[in-house]
Amino acid sequence: MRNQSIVYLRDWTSGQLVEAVLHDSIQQQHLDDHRNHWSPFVSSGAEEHGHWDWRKKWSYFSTQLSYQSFAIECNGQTQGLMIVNTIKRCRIQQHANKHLVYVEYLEAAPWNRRDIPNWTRFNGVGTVLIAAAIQLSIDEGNLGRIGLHSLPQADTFYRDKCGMTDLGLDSSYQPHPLRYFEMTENQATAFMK
Amino acid sequence: MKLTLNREWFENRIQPNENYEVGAGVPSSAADCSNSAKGEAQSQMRNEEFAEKVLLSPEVPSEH
Repeated sequence: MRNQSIVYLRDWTSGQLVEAVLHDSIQQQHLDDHRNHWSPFVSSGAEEHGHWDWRKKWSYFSTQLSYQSFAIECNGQTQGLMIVNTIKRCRIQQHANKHLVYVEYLEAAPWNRRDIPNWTRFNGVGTVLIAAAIQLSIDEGNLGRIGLHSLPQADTFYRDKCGMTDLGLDSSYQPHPLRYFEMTENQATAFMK
Repeated sequence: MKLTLNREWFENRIQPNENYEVGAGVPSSAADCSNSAKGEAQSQMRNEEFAEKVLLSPEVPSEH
């Protein structure tokens, strides 16, 4: 069953919180928004996730029970997308072999990553999606534990803003090694407090 | 899944003019992220291999 939750993003210009909707499943309208509104702003090579094709990702992952997708809508537009895997296990030694929710893909809309004329920029897309991953982890009995491979430009967000543990560059993540971050149950509790 | 955080949480957690970049997942510049089912399957296989390399501790039972 699909669920929606009321969440909030912050309007970059006014500084005010704006009501948004978190969907616990990517739907056709979100894929259409990505194709029609995100893609025109993506310049090749400028961003590490510049060519992510969410339609193909969704069509592949949505057929597998171990994956779940999320989308945030605000101001009539899709503001962020995420796909997670619910059957991965922890690397951090104190929780080794315990399950976590692994964030396969997370992306904010282009106008939330930089100023684009005539598009309202919102803060908090990543924060809300990480909160969703933590909540799913709690619902799955994994006490809020999550893990992910961060795109280089996002390392600071996961380390400093989210308080996740940086386990360093994962050389097994080929051909482009990324830093692997994990959030313990205590860190998840602190984040959600 | 329902997220039931109150407005105060967002007020405190999302500060004005924060300028963090967010993003996670296989970089689009990666050769095997070809935006195709094949590319995704390769990505998943790599993730499975990665999972197997996790420092498993037999003394710590899985919760599942």
